[in-house]
Amino acid sequence: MNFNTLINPVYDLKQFKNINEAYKKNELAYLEQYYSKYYFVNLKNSMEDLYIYQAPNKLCVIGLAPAHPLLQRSQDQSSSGHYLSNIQSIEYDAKVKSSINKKSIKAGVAGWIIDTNTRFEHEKELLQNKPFKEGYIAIIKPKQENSDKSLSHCFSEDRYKLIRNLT
Amino acid sequence: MLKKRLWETDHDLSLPTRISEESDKWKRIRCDEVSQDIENSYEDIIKQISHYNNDETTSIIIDTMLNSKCCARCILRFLNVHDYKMYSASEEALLKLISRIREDVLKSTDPKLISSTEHSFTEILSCKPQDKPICITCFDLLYQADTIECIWPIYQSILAHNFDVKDFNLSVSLPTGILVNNHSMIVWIRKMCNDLKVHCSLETLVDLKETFKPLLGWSIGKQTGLVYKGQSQFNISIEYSHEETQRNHMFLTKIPSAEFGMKKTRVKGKHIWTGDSRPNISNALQKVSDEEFLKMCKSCPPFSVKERWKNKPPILEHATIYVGGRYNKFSRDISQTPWIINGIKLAPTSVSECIGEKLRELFRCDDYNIVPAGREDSNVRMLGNGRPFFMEIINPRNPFPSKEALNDVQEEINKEYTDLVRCQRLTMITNKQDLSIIKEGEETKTKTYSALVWISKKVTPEVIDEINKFHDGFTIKQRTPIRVLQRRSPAVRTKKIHYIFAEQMEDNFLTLRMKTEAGTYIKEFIHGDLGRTVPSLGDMIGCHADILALDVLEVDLEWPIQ
Repeated sequence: MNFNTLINPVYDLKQFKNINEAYKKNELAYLEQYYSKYYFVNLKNSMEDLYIYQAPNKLCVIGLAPAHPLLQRSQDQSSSGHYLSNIQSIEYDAKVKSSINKKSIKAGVAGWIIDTNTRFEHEKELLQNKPFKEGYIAIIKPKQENSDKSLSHCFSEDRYKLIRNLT
Repeated sequence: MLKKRLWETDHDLSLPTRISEESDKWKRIRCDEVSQDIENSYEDIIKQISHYNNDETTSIIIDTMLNSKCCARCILRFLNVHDYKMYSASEEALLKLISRIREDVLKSTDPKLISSTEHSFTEILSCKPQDKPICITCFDLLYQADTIECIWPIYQSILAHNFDVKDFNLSVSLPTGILVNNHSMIVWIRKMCNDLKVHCSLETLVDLKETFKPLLGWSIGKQTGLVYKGQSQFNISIEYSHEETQRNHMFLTKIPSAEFGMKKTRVKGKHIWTGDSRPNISNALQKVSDEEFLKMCKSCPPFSVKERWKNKPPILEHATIYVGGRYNKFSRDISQTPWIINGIKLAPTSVSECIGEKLRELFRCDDYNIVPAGREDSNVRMLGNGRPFFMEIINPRNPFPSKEALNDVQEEINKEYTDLVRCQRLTMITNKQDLSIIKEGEETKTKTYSALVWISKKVTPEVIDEINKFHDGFTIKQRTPIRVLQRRSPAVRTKKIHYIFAEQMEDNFLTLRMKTEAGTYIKEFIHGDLGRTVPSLGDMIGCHADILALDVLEVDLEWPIQ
């Protein structure tokens, strides 16, 4: 390492060729560097599926999966607000009951809420417009540290696409 | 909990030698000039002791202790001789002194009260040192403080570890039996005075440790050439024990006025007694009246003892010293400190080990600990003029390496780990206050970075211009990154980007150079952390972005201090 490269580092793009190809095909593919993707299929309430991105530190980011009714073209923007008001207080065991509708939304993984998406306060549209990144719903610390047990009921992205007939 | 690392567990020490002859054990490291001094300073001594005790008490102290076969030095203690140098005189010289004092005080007291038969000094002087009865008030610790046998374990340890020091300090722990036996002697002397209807003035005496430590210190000094100094960075700790008397304080639990309680507790499955610390025993003895003591304590006057003192292996420790410098990390595969989770090593080595292991050999220390000004992830390189750090060197046997030796070890590190780690400006930190600069640096100093970035659209001059519009700086708001949320609370931190400069590379690649406030999460600024850092690089150019490689170019902190 000579003096010049100490202050002007050189990057070898050849080693990133494969990554470049993969990323170009799917602009959110880079998220796989940071998270393992799981999908929670909601059998009780039809199609209200969620994705679960798990970070190496075991924390889980949850959000709307592609087959979720709120993400279908037929839905309009106002549905976001309605849905979000139902999840104002997600409790331990990650269930919530709205006092108005007595609706219960499962988070897909049992644990404690560490943080919720504070951007929803002023940008409700994020939920439906950017569901897989800025529109995530909450971050959960799983009760069970072992992913094989905490997420055993979930599916990989490929399996999920098969189950829900997605491309 | 990791087991404590010691130099001797992975290195051989010099072999210990034995004291060859039994008679050698008793050789004294004598201060011969002191024995002469006693002749000259007799008047001062006699004046001194008469401050504390009247003549009758003085003679009773001497006679009682001689009858109990106490050593001459202990008698001096009870007579309140505070000139510690006197204690290094030989037993013979001191017995002569005591005999002279006894004669003098007898002259001024009523001869009918005190037996005027000469005390059989000769009897004591004629027997061999090892046949002399063991002193009951010091278990021969004070008597032997300046003998080879007492010095030997310490002397051997110093040689074995080969400490390169010029001075030392002493920490000594004496057997608990000393406390009761000395108190018992006081009570007994007071009783003797009362029996002879003499007003007893005995209230204080010189503490055993106060005379033992200087004597031991001077003797070690004479044997090794080291200087006994209170402020020394090199400490010798020895624990002395006496099994025969180690439970002789238990009777105190039966005296209500002593307020001495002991509890039985379980430690590691074994039942042990607690509550009998030396201060507790001392306090309890103060509270007991002489009558109660005489009634309840079986050993008043103290029983003769069959065994002398024993010692636990001495502990030699040099205070921690500090070496400072700056390091570069050229590899994306090694961590800053050893990275072990569940017993598995996740990175082959670390900056700490590359530098520390070589320093360990130079300083011959037990262990080391790196304290850097901030951290970088394993996959981040530390370029430029390096990150400031200091290394704690724990218990060095060689605390004063030469500048050349330090430079040599620096070259050795840089040669062996050429493509991994480089160490610069390695220097001894002599002013401990300088160390706080490192901690402050982590929190206040700016850092400069270089990053290789991928974006989800083709990089064009327009895209580059869009970023470079902000080259004079801007502010971002960062919510605690998800990758550290498990150990930090969710909070929003406003951070200043002082400077940003983008350069086009082919296809979807660009490089970024940025100067940021301390505590800014660069990776999260680039990929946005699912919208938790606003604005992210992607927000600024209207697409997604990811960081492929990160390098720290500068840690803006002046270190080491010239």
